[in-house]
Amino acid sequence: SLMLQYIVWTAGLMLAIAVGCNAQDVFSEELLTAWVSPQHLLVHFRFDQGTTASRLHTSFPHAIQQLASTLRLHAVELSLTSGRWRYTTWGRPLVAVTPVGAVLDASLRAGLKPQALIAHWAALVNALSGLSCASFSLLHDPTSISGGGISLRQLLAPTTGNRSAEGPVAGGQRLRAMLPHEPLCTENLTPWLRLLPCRDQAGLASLLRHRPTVFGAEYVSLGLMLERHATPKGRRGVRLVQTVTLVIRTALKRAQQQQQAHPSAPGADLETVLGARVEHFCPPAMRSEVLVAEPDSPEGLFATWRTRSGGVCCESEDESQNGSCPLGDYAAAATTGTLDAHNTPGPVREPSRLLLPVMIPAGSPGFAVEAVSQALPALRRYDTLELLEVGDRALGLQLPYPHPQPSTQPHIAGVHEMRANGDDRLAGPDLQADRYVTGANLLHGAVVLRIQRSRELRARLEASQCTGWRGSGGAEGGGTCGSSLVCINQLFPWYVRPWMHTLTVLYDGQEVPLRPHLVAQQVRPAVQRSSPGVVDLCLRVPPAVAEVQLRVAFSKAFLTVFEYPPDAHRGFDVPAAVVSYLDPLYAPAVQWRVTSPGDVSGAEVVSSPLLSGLSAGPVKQVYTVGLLVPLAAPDFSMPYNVICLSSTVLAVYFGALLNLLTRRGCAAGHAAPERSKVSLGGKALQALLMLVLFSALALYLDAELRQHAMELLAKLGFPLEFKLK
Amino acid sequence: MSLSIGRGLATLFICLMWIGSGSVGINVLTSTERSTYRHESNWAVLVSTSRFWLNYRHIVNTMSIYHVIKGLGIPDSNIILMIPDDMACNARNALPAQLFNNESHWLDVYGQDVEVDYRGYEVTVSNFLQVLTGRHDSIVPRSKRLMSDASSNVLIYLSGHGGNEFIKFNDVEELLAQDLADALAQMAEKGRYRELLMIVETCEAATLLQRVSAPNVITVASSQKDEQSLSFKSDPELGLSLIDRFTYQTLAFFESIDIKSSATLADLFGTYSYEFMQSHFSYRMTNVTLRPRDVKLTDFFGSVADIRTTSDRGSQDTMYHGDAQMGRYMAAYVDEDAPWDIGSKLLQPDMPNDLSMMRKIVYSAPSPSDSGIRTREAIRAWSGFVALCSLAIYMLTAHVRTK
Repeated sequence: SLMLQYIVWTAGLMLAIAVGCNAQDVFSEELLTAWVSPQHLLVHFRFDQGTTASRLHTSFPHAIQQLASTLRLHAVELSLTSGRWRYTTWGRPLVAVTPVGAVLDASLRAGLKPQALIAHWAALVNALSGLSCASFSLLHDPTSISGGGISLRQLLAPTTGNRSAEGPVAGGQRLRAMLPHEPLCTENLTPWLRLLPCRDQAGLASLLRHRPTVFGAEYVSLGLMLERHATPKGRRGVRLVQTVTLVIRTALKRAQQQQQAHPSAPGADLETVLGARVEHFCPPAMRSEVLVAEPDSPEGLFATWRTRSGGVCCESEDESQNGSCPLGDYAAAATTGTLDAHNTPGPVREPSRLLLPVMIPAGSPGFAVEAVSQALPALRRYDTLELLEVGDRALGLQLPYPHPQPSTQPHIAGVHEMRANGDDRLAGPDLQADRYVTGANLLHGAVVLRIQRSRELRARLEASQCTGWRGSGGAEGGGTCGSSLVCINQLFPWYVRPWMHTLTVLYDGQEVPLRPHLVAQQVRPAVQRSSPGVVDLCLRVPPAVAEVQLRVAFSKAFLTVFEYPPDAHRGFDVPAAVVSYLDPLYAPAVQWRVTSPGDVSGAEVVSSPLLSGLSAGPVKQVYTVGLLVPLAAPDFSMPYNVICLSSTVLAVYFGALLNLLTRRGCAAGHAAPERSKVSLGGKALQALLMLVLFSALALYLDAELRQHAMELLAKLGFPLEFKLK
Repeated sequence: MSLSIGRGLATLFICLMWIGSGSVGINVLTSTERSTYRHESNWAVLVSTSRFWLNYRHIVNTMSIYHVIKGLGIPDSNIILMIPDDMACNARNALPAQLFNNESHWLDVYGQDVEVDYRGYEVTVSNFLQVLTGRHDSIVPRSKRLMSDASSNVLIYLSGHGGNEFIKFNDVEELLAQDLADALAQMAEKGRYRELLMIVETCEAATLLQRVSAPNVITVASSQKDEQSLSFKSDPELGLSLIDRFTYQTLAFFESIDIKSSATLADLFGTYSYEFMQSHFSYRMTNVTLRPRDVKLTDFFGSVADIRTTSDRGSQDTMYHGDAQMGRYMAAYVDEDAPWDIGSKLLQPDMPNDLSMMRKIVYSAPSPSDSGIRTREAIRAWSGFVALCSLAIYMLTAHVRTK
């Protein structure tokens, strides 16, 4: 009985600890899908974990806790990407997009001495290389580290007022490093999944189980964000955000045609697209949701909701109005759970809720809803657990059909209409940046950065002239419109040396003086073999300007032979340039409201990490693709080296011998002829010695020559007695 | 004058010492008994040294061995994998995130879960030697260290392009035979292994291993001097050779091996044929009393350890020994030298054509016999000596003449 009592007590204690820890570790998982073109599906996973416990975790990965508690860091952001976001066909990304390769962004606590900073950085880089299987230990090499430059957000900070919410931690030290040529593959995903409580065995992460689909995607990005934070009650904790963004090409075209022929035919299934199934729910998850972007524009849905907030569906089956009144159906579906499959091709059996991004005007207390955000789509929200209860060990989530227009965003659709009308000059997203190298010289070259702004963006800029965000302004021009600012951040490795005096700026092909348009600048020249150069420029670009070009000439450094990578002839990577601008469509207060048959203002407000991440901030960043700069590389091939070496040795030998045989004694003097006569024997001796020296040297260095010598000796009949042993 | 002569003599002496130190490699340290430590853990260092898409097969070689040893129970934490280029997610790979060693594509050797510890530019000679000798910077994470000890069996596998006494790393560096031998000697000194099996699949692989003299090391080479290690299995879809012949033959043997197998190295060697590989394999054991048929493959390729309880009176022990059948059953998993194992070995004919085949394979190869090496080494040492002497005499005569 004593034993039993003991067991009961132990069990009780364990339970208490478990409950206590449960309260301290939280985990939430979300998934967002949206069609970015008729063939391309964006799938974005976001896993949030947080803990306030310093030991004894139930789900939070201990390695991360260890890292956060041993290093004095505020936040670390790591992204590994392969492929690039195609702005022209996929439009503006809904979620944050990262440049190709690996990017590591760390903000460490202020007040670290330079030596301690280097030690912290090295420890961080090594720990992350162990945690992600990426070759981050190469980032030891300080040529890839740069301090954080000026950011548009910081420039605007004094007037926007919400510094604490968005801005980087004041006084912290930001370090940034890029590896543009880092591959991304299964070995990176394996340790990344290990940080999740259910790995890929349960929960939404099991959709990543079919690796060929994941890594066969046209754009794959793996993100990891670690942050120390404090709860509202003042408890310190650690937060870990893991994201995966995939853009998968699907062969949906045929299915779509089928659907047009037979409207009741089943459409694309999320699990079929990803090639994996969610079989189990991940128990530690306090939130597990799937969000599906509606292909219809949110404005139409919103208008319908406002007019028909009584919950009445449009009874008449008018073909022309087909797209404008599905909301009533959705609302009905939300309440009753049944819906005629003919009206909406979307999911019907699952209980789902439609979320609309509504804007709350700055002054109102939150009731007067005027419009929906144009930048965000309407979302349909599903609960994984509910889906799993309905489906048989699968989500069974049917995706809506994409619009023939290749984007969920209305303004992109507009662009395509424009393109159809023959005006394809500005087809594409809001802002597009590309970059290229000119010049075929091995010593000099020039790099051109071209930024194109769409007609929509310019129209909106003109409309919102000086009413939106106000910048703090540069030295001149106190009334600068924040929205007309364009900031450029470019990192140059030390072996690519830009000449800043050659920087020219062209607005629509016309060269303009730099000074009047420059709002802020920070240029840090590279230090040979130790740190890269950073160029940060913020320009004021009038709304009428469609294209901005920046050109700068550079010279290329010579590297020593050991500084060349194994694939030197491929060229040297220059990291992506970042172009940031203010989004005029950004609404500071977007709420996601559930469309229910009732008043708009009274609708339920939904929030989650993923939803708030969608409307993160006014600053949009566009990354250029990578750039390769060819440097002068020697011929590394082995025969070349061998020939070089042996010819050098031979040249030295013949030179020395010739010198010996032809030189006449000492420099000058009457005694020279006599000495030369006298030392004829000596010369012969010297020549002989030279011969012996070099042949012995050759024998010493060359194993094959020794072999040949041995064979020769054996043939000549010399007894090599130890060979007979 | 006297000062300069003294200096010359000192230089000569130092140079002689240097030459003398070069010939240490031929003083083969032979040990005659197996390590007294019990086998408690398994470690593996699997290295591919070739970069670029055209060397797909070298990375598949290494990944295939990784697949085998992971299947036989060695966990990722005990495997140091060095892969210099990304083949699975290479833009040229039509089958993303997969690697195949057979054109039927039925077995993906890359798999769902893989942990590459050193990759890309990190695969260097210095990193490889650091992993072997354990001389890391203090901040290197545990996952990148070989944390073996005197009770660990270590498997080292190398695949890449090589030549006479070297193997190329990442197309720019060479690992030399002497450096490798020195690193293994250092491992032995530091007690970093109990027994070590080193397999090298390159051209002229035997030359890379011929200087190894550390005790309790078994080396297996895929080819002899002046021989190539050829590729196999051309895939029309990928447009490449998929694997090398020696590794293919090895994998074919391991298909029938599971964790309980008692197959020995001799069984494996018996399957190697010149007709298939077009090269002569060879093996060498620095422990002279050891024979291939004494070495079980699972000692190195599987995680089979000899675990015994330290006390024979503990409560666990009575539970363990209480039921004879249970003990027998469990011992089959934990003990390597169970008596019925020996019995079953006795029942089988001991390698039917073991000796004859070995003789055929090993002795028909132009094997680097000790005496040959010794002669060449002697010539090397003496030629260096003569070179230095003649240099010294030359300098002396020049000195006298100028006086």
